[in-house]
Amino acid sequence: MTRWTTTAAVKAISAVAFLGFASQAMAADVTWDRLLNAQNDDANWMMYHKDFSGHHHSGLKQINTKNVKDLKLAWQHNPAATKRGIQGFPLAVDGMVYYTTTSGTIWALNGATGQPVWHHAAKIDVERAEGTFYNPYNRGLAIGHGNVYMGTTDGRLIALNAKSGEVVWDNEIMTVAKGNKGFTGAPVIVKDMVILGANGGELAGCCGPIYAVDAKSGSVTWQFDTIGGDQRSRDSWGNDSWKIGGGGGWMTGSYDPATNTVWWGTANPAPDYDYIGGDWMNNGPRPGLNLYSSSVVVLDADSGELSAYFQEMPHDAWDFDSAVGEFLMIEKDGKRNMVHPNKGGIIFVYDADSVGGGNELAVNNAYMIGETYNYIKGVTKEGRLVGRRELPEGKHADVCPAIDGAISWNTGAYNPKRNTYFKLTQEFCFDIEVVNPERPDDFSGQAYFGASWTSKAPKQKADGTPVDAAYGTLQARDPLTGKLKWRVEYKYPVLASLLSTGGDLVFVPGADGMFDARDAKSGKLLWQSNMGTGAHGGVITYMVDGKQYVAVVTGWGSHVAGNYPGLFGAPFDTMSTDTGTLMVYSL
Amino acid sequence: MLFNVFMTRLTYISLAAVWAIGLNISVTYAEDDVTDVAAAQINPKYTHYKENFSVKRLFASRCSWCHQGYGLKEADGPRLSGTDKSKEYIIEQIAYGKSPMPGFRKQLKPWQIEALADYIKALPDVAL
Ligand code: HEC
Repeated sequence: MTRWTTTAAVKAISAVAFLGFASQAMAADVTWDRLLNAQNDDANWMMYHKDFSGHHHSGLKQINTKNVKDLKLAWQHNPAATKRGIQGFPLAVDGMVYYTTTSGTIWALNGATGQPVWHHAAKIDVERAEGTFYNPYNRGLAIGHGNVYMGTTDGRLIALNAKSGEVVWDNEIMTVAKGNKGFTGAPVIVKDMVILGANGGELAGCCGPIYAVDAKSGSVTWQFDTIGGDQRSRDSWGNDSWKIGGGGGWMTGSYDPATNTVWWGTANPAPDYDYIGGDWMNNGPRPGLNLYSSSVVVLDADSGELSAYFQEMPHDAWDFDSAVGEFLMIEKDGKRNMVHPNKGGIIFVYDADSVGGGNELAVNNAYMIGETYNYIKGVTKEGRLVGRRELPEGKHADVCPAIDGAISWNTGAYNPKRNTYFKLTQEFCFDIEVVNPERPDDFSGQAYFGASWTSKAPKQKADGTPVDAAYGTLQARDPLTGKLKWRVEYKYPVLASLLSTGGDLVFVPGADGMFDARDAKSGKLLWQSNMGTGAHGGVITYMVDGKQYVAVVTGWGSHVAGNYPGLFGAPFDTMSTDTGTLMVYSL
Repeated sequence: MLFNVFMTRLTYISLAAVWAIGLNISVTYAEDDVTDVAAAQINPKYTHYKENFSVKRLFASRCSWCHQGYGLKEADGPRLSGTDKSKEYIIEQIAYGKSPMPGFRKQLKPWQIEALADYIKALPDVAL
């Protein structure tokens, strides 16, 4: 061997060693222990809600109120055309970033440079997936036990090797036997299980199941039927209407290690709207309370048995689901509270320890954050609706909020130091004509609603203040008392999730594509950048090699976004609904 | 007050109808009732499949989630009134969908799909 080759060999060896080191760092497994303690690991964003506190808060403060003005695009990644934009939450683990786009495509990228490491496009049974109307959506991943997990719109859960992207297993979890449904929400790992819920509120399918799947083998460990699963539920649906009752748990819930319980929100019952009006306990398409639709269900993590529940919208007459996946654990004065937003614009504060035995959760407080509502007069501190506005067969003008709700599935964020909960509202209404819908076949999975409507601007707030256009708000509150600290109005309601950081910042990806960083203390706008198109997905922060990054997905188009051209005109009348980008910022 | 708005409109329509029947001539309805006019033309063609068939009711049960105002308003799905597409094209679209619109060929009977297509073609070029 010549001297030259020796040097080259040494160089080659050290390159291999370096690569080896780097890939080893990347390969460090996400164990259950790491996930359980994710709240103390701010360099990584390892699950949909970052950690089981559900705060969507990272302690990282390299980017802060003083220097955020210097925040710049570090890199971006353009996947192939993505129908209806990107709706998922990216994950960041040990120097890698993972994210999903439309119809089950996963990208694994180098978190510092954006260089693709692997890519997987799930083969979807298009025939089946496109039988439902949630067909292009995918809202993200779970990572752990060496794998990355993704649900698909054709009812499968796929495990891929986190390092190589190779398929480890690919199982059909849900057949079409009880209605054509699939998965759009991101799974979450609890111990050695992957938990995910089925879509389908207004689909005449049954049982809205939530599954726990064995992370290693892909077989179902337990299944909880959100409707029709127990006698109490069946008794609350007259004429066996639970068989076509919807009620899917389509967003990502959370886990409370202290009580070993899974917390999950469920969708509205089918059909959407009820022509019978006030006599819904006895008559109409689904007589009764319709448990456990539009409810929070708390499940024993090991058995899947119902530990507690609370129906936020008893006999939901407005499509104001509880499917919002956000559960914020907030401890105060030795009391553990679980805070959960409902689509109707209500924040429910549950006693997190009132579980066990399958009873109703104790409610510590409930308060409205929606501003232009008139579907109810309000909510009591015990979480009971006051002054319901039923929508019997016929025309109803200016019902607020519209079917889209005052709160959508996007998450808020909570800054624990300031005890401030940042949450968005969308303020628009509709005129609706409720009809007696055609009852589809049992378990058919058919679309099932009983109304036609037209979105419009609100005329007034609940307190009587006149309003002349649809709008949105960003509100900063004490999450337990609901006390308002500051409020910023958005011309276009924000449909993306929020991020809170230790740098005392709140990041807000706007509907018009403007990405804002605001002062957590005052709401003051400190930085803004145009991302080129609207956003309605996730936003995270992470650290690689001592450098903090903020990653956000863009892309527009959804059921809620569909109202914007009509409500606002430009820029939404020309905004593309088949693009989307991962944008990553740093100082 | 809401009641009044609807009452006024109803009164107007029924007066117009009485007038139209009396004089045996056609009449232009208020803008948001064009869907009733279209439906009234289509429904009788399909009552031999189903008594009291209402194409608007079918539309509300299956399509309204994305096509607002009985097809007059753009939302998640486009406005359907005034479409330049042929009836055959529309039947194809309803049967096979185009993501994110689901295909309805397994959910609806061929005559129901045809009734919806007829209704869409019968809508005048009016937007809400
Ligand atoms: C999940 C939402 C959704 C539902 C439910 C839905 N559509 Fe659509 N529809 C769309 C979208 C989106 C398009 C545009 C598709 C494209 O061209 O990319 C569309 C397009 C159409 C078109 C073509 C219009 C044209 O001029 O090209 C027709 C016709 C139509 N829909 C009829 C219906 C009917 C009838 C129903 C009920 C049986 C229905 N749709 C249910 C979303 C929906």
